[in-house]
Amino acid sequence: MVRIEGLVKRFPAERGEVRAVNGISFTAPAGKFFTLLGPSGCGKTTTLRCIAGLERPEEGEVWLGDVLVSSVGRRVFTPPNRRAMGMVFQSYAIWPHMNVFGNVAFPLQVGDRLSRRAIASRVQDVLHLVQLDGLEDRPATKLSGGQQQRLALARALIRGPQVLLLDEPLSNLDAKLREQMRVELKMLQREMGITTIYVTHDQVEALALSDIVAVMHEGHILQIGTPREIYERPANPFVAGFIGMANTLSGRVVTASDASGEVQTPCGSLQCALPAGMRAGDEVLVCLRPEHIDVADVPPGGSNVWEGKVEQAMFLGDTIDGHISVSGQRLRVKIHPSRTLQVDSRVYLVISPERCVVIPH
Amino acid sequence: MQEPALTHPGEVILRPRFGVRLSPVHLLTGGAVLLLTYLTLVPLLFLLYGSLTSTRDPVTFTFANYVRAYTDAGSFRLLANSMVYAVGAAAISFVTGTLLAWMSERTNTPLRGLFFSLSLIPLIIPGVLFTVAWIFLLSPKIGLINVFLMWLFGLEHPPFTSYSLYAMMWVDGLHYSPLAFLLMSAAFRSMDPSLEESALMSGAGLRQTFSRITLRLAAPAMASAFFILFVRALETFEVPALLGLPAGIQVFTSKIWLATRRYPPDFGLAGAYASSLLLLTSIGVYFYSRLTRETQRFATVTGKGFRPRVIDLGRWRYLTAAFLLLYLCLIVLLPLFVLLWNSLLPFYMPPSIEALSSLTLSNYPVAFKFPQTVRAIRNSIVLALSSAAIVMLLTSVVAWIVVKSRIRGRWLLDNLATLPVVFPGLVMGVALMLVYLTLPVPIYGTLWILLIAYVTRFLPYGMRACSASLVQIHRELEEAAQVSGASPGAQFRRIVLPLLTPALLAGGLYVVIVSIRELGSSVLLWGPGAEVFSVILFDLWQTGLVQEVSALGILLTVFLFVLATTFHWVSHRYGVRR
Repeated sequence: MVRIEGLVKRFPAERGEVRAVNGISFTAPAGKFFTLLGPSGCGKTTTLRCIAGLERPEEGEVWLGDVLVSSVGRRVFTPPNRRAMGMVFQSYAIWPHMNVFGNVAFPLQVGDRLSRRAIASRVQDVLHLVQLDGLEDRPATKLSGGQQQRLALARALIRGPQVLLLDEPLSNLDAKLREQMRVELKMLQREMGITTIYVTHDQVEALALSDIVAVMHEGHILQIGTPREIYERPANPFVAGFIGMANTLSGRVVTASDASGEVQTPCGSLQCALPAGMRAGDEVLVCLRPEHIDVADVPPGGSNVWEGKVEQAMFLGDTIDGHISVSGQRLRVKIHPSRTLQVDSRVYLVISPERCVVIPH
Repeated sequence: MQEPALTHPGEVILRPRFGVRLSPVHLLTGGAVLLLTYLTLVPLLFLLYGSLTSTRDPVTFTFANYVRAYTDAGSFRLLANSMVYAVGAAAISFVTGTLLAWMSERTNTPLRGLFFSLSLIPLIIPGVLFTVAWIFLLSPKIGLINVFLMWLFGLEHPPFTSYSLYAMMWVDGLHYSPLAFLLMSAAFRSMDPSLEESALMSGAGLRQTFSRITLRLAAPAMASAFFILFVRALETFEVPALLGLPAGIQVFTSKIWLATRRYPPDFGLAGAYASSLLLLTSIGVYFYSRLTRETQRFATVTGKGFRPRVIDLGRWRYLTAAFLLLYLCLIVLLPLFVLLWNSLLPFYMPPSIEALSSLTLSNYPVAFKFPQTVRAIRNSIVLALSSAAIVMLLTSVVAWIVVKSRIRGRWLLDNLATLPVVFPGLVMGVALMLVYLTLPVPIYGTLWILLIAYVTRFLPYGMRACSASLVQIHRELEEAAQVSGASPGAQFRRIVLPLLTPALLAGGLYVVIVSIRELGSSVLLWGPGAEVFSVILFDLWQTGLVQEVSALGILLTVFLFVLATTFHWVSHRYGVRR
């Protein structure tokens, strides 16, 4: 388990200073895959580096299990070399003057006093784990990108750390390899049951890998939840816009009963599920995922049907990406490729009430 | 909240909330600041102080030295000579160097690959020898070129003289043209060809592309190269002393030299001239560094491998090849040939069948008969090795602090360590004389003061080698070791040091070479028993022992050539990987 309490980290900037991390708290439960997701500059890497001990926070505490490793108030700071964590860096940080064996064995050579034989056998085990068997004597610079990534992972795992920290480890790989490594990483993490903190700006990666996702923006955590919660119930406009694609419409609540109501938007009125505490007259944002909008050629009965004109339709292989103009607003839709979407034709958009996400504005 | 549990006691670093955290890095930084201040700032202050006080007791504050320096009838001439000489020499280096760089980087001139390494030879030949070689070639009485042209055209008077302002510019300009070549080659090489190609695609012709894109992009690099060449020329002592003084042409460096040669030595006057020269070089270095920053802003592509556009010269390429060969003759073959020729003659003769029969090797043993020669060789080697070791050791730590640590005020260390760039050798000599004739440290005229001079002067070279290499060592490489459980000591020993070794070796070898060549400071600071090789050459020449100078010069050149080849090999073997 890793617990962060009220973490603040500032950096000197040209004028004054920048609050890279502005008072964040979270708990990554033991054995879970916890992801910090956000655009570049949101403070996610700084948070990770504070956990590693590579940065000294200005305020706040970091707990590893029930060990306090960093606290400004209690004047505790354990340097990174005593924190027993494994970390994979964005650049992999493979030491170019050592071979594969040297890189992996290094953490054992500088730390615990182990016999040569014990080290060799541990190295072999962990290289097997990441499928680099037989490459012990290869110079580290002679590895491919994917192999360097595995090597970095092996080095992070060799001491059997309590916590594994991953700083955008897949961002330097090409698309195909990235997908493959994603699967392997997830399987490895589940098998080993190691608490993992993962930093990425790639929402697909975050959704695919994580048990829990924390979305960060400008030094704050905006929402913590399972990938499904984050995707389907974004708590604020930034999260809705950052994760996946979303049509956002500003609107006003017209009527509200317990958990549903009617919202007036520029495209027309909409029956929606409403979050608790919403009242008539509230200004809101309505988020509609493109894949949650159904497109029909003839007007179906019932509510939540808008009429629109197809402005653009792009065939993407697995979907059709359509731009539909409704009362001057442009909405994106994503429909099955077996359907056709004729440019300039009239269509009817159908939105089911429980798929509308209403966010206070 | 539970009480903090600790894996091992003693892992906690306590720090006061206010006040300074004192870590080993802080202590190291403090020590480095003190040492560098002593090495670089103290001589500068003593120089200014010395130039502003009267030399005789009681010591009073006075502008008299400057008044004496600038009310001299020749003072305008001195300034004019210095500027004309420096600008002229810089222009000659710049034009030849730029042309050669363009030919070898951007055209298909034959032999350009071979040319690159051969053209660097003059950079290892000490200035004294290069100048002496050109006296052998251009002197009105014995100059080989003069003799040859007089014979060829039946002239009555020698067409050239080695003792004139033009000859000074020519010899110094030629000697440092390889530096211009290096700087401009780098500039041409780092130019992204797609910038020119997109101009061509936008409809610009070759000439427009050249004037509006190529030239504009290269402009900051060209200007900064010119300024560094100008500063270099201001600093040279060998050419003004050996070619200028016999003709009565004085520049700042030779004026400083003359002021210290008076009896009694006029340190106040030397200090005034030295301060003036320092002002000029500082202005030059200031513009140089501003323009270099500009160049970096223009460096559109970093480290990506691309081939610059190579222009097919057609038949003209034989002309450019001929130019390359002519240049090689002027800077390598002729000077070395004339030195070798003289080293093998019992007394001076122009080349002829008759002269060939009297060739002898006897100059070589004779040169070693002087006891000071052997001592000087030993001293030079000891000094070169120890200054290289000290410089690299010191700068590896300082550069690490500057590049890698986040300690406040590390810019101060950087500035202190690169400050000696503005010190011409003679100015450093005068400054150190003033320091150690004032302070009760009796090292004037010993090897120690020479060691201090060399270490101080060559600190910037060490800094450049170490910081360039450290910048390339990604911060995450050290952090990965830290997260792997390595202590700060183990990080430095097992990660930083092995990765820095090539730079330390290459930088150290370079310091060895420049230390052995050094004349400006040495000529003021040496003493009996503490002679160095370049000073011995200078003295033997002044005494008229021409053949012996040539013999020693040939040996020294061979030795330095071997060193430089090793340097080249080391930096290629270890530097390019990664």
